[in-house]
Amino acid sequence: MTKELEQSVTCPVCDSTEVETSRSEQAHSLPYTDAFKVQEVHHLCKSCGAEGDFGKENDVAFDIAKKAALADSINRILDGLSRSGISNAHLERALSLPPRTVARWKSGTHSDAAIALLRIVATFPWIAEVAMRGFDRRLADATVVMQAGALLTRYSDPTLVFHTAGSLGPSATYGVNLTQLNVPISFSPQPEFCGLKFTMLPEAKEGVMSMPVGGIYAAG
Amino acid sequence: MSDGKAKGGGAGYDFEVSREACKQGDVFIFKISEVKKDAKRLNLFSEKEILQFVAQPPDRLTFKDSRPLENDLFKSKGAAVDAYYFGCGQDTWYLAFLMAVSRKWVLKSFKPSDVLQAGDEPEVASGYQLGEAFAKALRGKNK
Repeated sequence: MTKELEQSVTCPVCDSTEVETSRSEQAHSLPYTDAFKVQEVHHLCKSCGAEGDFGKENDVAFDIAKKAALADSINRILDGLSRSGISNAHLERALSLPPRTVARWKSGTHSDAAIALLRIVATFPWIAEVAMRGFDRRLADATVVMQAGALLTRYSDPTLVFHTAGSLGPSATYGVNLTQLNVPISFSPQPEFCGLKFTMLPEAKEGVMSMPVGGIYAAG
Repeated sequence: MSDGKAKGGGAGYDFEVSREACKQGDVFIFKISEVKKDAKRLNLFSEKEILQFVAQPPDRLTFKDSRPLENDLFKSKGAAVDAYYFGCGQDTWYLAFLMAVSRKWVLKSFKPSDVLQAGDEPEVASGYQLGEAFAKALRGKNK
């Protein structure tokens, strides 16, 4: 950190020009992108003791860096989803968005709401499949339970949780009665990705789905 | 109209006036680098975002007290410092502001509250806390 006296800077509180200026690099992080650094200025008024960013320069520098980081995060999220089998068109259909909406986000025309939505889908990619099926409550509940089972399988002792039976039964260990949901579940040999094939019973809503487990960047 | 002096029992300033100043970005944030470290917990990263958040105003905004500034910071010894609690999710936060002798609004504090008000303590752990505990247990089991 360097320190200097800058006569050109005026204290916004007392109007004194006795201002000491220092600069330092601050690291910031946003979801789904690398950490980025911003050169920040720090002022100290020798007259009244006010400390801070007198010229609001830091906000300008931060906004520029944030814009680049957000663009990078959107690209990473969409690329990750695409690798997981969720294409831009698939996402648009699932979320009832007009065609080419996602392409516009990718090219830089996006809102804060779009970024929030993408972060949610990136964290819980299976939400796209639930959305595609009209946010069916029963399917959503079943998916949450399956995701929990898959995560337990991934992180826990394989002899302890679900892994050997091939289908889920009641689990007193975690206090969840899975049979009430009538969701027979089997796991594939690759629990880090998909492998969750299930059949919705009994209401003739039979089908087989597979979907990414956890976040798209979760290590296997 | 604010006179910059603490008033017995009540707030020294009309919060609506300081809120409007925040909306206009016409408020100096004292020790912004420290404030920003805390504000990250609210996903607020810049001075502008913090002021806009205060201008909303925040949920469960509750007047705490108004006290005269004890030292001569901002050359404003004796100026009223109005303190408020506000909530965000399960957390209680604290903010304090004053109008300096130069008639400039200063956000003096913006941080998580150290002292929860009576009745604010959550009776059950939040979903986040449960998730954290669960993840910790899984990590331990995975070793």
